[in-house]
Amino acid sequence: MKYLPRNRLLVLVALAAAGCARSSGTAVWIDQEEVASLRKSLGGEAAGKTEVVAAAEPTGFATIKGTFKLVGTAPARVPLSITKDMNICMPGGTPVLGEQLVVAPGGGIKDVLIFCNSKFPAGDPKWEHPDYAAAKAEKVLFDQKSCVFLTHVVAARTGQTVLLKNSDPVGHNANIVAKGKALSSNFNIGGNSASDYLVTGESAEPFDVSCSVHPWMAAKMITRDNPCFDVTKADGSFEIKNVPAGVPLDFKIWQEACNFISVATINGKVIKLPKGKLTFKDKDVLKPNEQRILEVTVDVSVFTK
Amino acid sequence: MGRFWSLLFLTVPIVGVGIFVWAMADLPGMKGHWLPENINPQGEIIDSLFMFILYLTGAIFVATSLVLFWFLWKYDASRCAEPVKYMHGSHTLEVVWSILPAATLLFIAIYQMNAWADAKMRRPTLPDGSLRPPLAEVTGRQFEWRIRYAGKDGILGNEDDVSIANDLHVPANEEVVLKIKSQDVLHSFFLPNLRLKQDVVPGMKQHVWFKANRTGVFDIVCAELCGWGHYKMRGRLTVESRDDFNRWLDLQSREQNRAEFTPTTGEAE
Amino acid sequence: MSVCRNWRHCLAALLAAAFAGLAGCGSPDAKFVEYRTYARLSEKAAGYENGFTHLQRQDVNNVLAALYGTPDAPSLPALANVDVTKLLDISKLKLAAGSVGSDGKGRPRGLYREHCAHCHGITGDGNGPTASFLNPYPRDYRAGLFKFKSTPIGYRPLHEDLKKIVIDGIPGTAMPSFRLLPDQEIEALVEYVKYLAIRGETERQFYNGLKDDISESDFLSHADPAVAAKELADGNDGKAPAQKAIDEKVAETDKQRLEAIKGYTETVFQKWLEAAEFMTQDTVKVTNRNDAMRVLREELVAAGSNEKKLTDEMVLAESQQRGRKLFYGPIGNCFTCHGPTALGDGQLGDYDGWTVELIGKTPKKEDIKDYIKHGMPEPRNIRPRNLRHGVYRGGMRPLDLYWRVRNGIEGTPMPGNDKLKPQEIWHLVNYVQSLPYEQISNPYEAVPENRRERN
Repeated sequence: MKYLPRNRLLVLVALAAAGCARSSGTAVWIDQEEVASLRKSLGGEAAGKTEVVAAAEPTGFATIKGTFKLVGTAPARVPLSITKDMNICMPGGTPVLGEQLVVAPGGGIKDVLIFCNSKFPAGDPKWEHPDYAAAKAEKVLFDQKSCVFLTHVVAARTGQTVLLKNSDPVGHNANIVAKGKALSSNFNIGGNSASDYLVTGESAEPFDVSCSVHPWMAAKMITRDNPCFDVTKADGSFEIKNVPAGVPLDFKIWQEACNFISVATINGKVIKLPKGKLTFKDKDVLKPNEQRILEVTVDVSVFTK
Repeated sequence: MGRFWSLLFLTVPIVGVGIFVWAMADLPGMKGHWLPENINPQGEIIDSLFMFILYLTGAIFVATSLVLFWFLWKYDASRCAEPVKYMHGSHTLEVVWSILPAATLLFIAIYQMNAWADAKMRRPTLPDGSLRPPLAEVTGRQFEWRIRYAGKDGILGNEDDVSIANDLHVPANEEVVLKIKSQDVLHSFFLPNLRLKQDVVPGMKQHVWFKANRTGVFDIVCAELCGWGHYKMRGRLTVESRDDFNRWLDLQSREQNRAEFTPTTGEAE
Repeated sequence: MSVCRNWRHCLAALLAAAFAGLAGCGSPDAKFVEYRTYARLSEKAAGYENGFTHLQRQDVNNVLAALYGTPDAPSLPALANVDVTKLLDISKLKLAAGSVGSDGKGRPRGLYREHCAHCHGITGDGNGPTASFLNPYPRDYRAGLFKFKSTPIGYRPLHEDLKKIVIDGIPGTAMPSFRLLPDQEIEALVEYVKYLAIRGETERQFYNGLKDDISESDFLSHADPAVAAKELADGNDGKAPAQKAIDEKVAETDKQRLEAIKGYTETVFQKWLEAAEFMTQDTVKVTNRNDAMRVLREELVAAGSNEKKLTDEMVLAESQQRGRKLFYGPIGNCFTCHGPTALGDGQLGDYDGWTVELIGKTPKKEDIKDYIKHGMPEPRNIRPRNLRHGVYRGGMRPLDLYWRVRNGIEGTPMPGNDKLKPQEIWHLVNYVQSLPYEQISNPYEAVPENRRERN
């Protein structure tokens, strides 16, 4: 060790080792035993079609209606930065405000989405009221005027067609970046014309619709298999008719500014909504022909946190 | 160590020459290690220049190695008791070993001038004396050769050009001019079988030319380290008869101008 | 250290040790990496401040490994409702998987790692060692979205679409052409790309599952007998349930869980099968430029042109004129992004879909930082194509341009035009194809030739 001190030797060994050390990053770690057992059970199962088996059958239909109101002062709406086609998109030079959270003078919250999250057996008249079957053929209007999507949150059923309309003289497009089983789409819509978007499947949450030409234009779309959903009007009111009664149902409540609403006061009672989920079960199950009124107030902190 | 070192140094010229002879003779173990087949008449001149320089340097190499061996052998410290002699240089010797190489280099420089001019300056002409237009443009980029054929009209840069990557087809027994350029970094367009090599410099348009006298499929490689994927920059040179070439180009042109679609009856997997 | 009696022995010992060390570590088994960016997105959407738990992530990894195997030994799931073999061929996959080499019979192995992995990554996450040096970045397959294909936005690409890209490369990007590879090797690579895309999409599905439904948040892990016992007791006024009941409940939960996994996986495969089906339907119009030009000629003749004097060039010029009108008109609307002179300078502030998905259209700094930490490449603006170069990424065939105009480009702001008639799209294609050869574009004469003539 006279010529090569021990510490230098250690450095060399360390270097040799470092040469091959590889960073694993987020390389996955797999439990081989679990994988083997999983593989066996996945391959072994010769499962047939998965049927949606409902524990109970609906006994009739009910209506859910009510309003969403805000407690507290709504945050100011932000003016959008409009950079193109000023004479059409910003008529008279008035600033156009963002529509994330629009609150009426009385406190009503616009564009709250409430939808039934339970699976309905397809085409079963006990679940799906005949009125809905007829309404399926109607197109859902999704218009744009002065470079604003007139329906900020649009909801449609699987099988329904959304009429993507353009009431401006300039060209728009509806860039739909779908989630779930809905299909993405992006087609030009010439000035004063329209295009169709066929809803092919449902999405668990709303997704973005935008215009590639006018980047400030934004809307949300949700597609559902079952017909029980509504979006609140400017005064915060909504109404869902013909909801199957007599069965436990899950609803989800969503608003753009806060995503799924996590806590709300419903008919005077503070209720926690895990991931926006509101459940009607046991005593709360809807009765046939009932008019269930939901007076919902949401604290402003839910939106601003 | 005795005479170990002198013997070791003796093996250098022997093994060196041996390897060369072995490779040239294409004997087992070294098959395909000598120059690849030459298919370019101009390449014969390049080859003869190469061989001339190889023999010249080879002879000098062997001679120097033997002299080195002789000195090591003769003046081995363990056997040679003669005291060291110091001398103050030899003017004559220095003049000789300066002039000899200089003259040799000068000779080579003059001797190869014609070959260089043929390869790099005397671009083939058309019967009317104008420069022969390029058959195709080869663009090197990391890491492929993009080739753009002048098409039927023979003019580069218009609508009937045919673009294809890595696949260079040329007619045999014809003067072929290629325009070469680079899109990103320094590459080198190398056709080993044609003894043709030209650095491709970004920002410059250069021309290379050759005449292939044999049909077949050969390599295009990049001879300038151009990045981590340098080794991938391999293309294919197909030399074929004029008729075959025209037919092939026509086929590519038709594929490139494909403008119709008919739904098939199933995904062809 | 008695070996080190003198420095020579010591050095020799050291060298030996170093070689032994190097050989010992060799290259470790290649592993797939987690889809961290998407997991992060799901975590945020679900409101999990601390992210998914280690166990949840482990579950996802285990199930993925059970379904798709490892980079060295890929496998395919057996699904009841979907014919997996219609989409993927395991024998071809094996040619592309594993480490680079050959199987001893001269057949290559590890083609993906040889040709693709250094940019696209072992997992197909577009994050290989060389990825960050490239502009544009290599494709991340895991969203299942590909730009250049014959199917419209929203549909998966066809096998042939991917194959064309592998063969021709993507001019204007770092994607080279693999034209010279034998057909079966190209086939294997395409299969492997599809495999990685499908695997990645399945991973996304699982994270969606973790995000969407809190009651099934543990949908991937084995049912816990203790939890089952508690649930049974709760439903029975607190009375302890019988062991048999617990076992049944556990078995039932496990079954549901397997069904859920299969359901998620089937959804992914269905999307790919759908695309192939779509392109065989009559909704995809038969289209042919020659027919379009013939119709235009007839129109012109009907409008009073002299039939004999009307050359093909004149018809083409008229078609280009009409294309030009569409280009600048409110229906085609091309100029807003591609610029008033088609130099691709109309709209420069957009991001591509893969980026927007994570950080939105107007990203915040802290989001960018967060996702970069989780593996997102530094975001770059996406630029509309400069149509005067004559370099078309998705291919230069008129048919390729037709698909771009008709269907739009997935994951980019480029919309399709389903309201234009095929004939009108051909006008646009003709116009776009003429742009590089307009006097003003003059790509060839613009660069001075750097040469000396000595004849």
